[in-house]
Amino acid sequence: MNDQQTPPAGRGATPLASCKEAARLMSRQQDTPLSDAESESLKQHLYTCLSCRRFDDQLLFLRKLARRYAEGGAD
Amino acid sequence: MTAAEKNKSAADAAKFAEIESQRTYLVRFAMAKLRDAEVAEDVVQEALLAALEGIGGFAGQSSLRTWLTSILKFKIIDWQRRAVTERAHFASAPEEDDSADPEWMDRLFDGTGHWSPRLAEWSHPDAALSQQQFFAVFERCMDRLPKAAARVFFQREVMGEETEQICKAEGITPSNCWVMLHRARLALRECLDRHWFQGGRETAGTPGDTP
Repeated sequence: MNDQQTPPAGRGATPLASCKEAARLMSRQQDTPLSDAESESLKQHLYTCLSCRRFDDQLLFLRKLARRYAEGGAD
Repeated sequence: MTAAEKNKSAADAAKFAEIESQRTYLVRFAMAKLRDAEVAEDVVQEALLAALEGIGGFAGQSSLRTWLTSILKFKIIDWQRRAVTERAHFASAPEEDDSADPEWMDRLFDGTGHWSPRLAEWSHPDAALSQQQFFAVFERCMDRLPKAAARVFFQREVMGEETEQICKAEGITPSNCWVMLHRARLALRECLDRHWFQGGRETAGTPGDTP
């Protein structure tokens, strides 16, 4: 049940304080590249947060779903 | 009627039914571009008539939906050209206030900004892509979005357009566009989670009152 793990030591960027902010970045990443700092912070957050890794996967799936829908839906 | 003629008219009827079955999707597509339901219905009608006349040109290399969509795109552009004089229509302001997160968004996170409840894994999401019922749930989830958000999401993810192009057409800033897309994605994720992946399969016909 516990999503939190020990963050990796010795990395430069500040990890994001909240999943809410991480979710915003993950979504924006689908539309435009993030800055290096944003990207690094997000990476660190994802390392420690299972829910956000799931959200990232689900965003990718949502895109796949929408593209499949454009082609006609179910096989 | 000869046997050959009978076969031909049966084949035509089948093609007609197949084309007709794509109407709902095409209306959604047109709505994302044209905003006006009545106009969208009209343009789709024009596109379907053109498709019936030109069905011989459908080589079956792409899906029927893709082929019909390409015809519809031309019809939409035609209509937009004809409507150029009605500039006010395209210049209309965004329909929602974007300054604050809507209340339902706050309910997704706890006081410290962490997911509440935590996100559950979606088991075998790819298997859902082969079920027509899943696409029906997806459509109903899109219907629950605020209109502008639904349009922007459709243009971005279903049509695959770039945000820059979408913002321009919608008359909004890129950051507005990202906010709308993010909210749409959060809402759709919630809706699919609730009505499909977390045991909603049996009751998939009735997405509830959460966006």
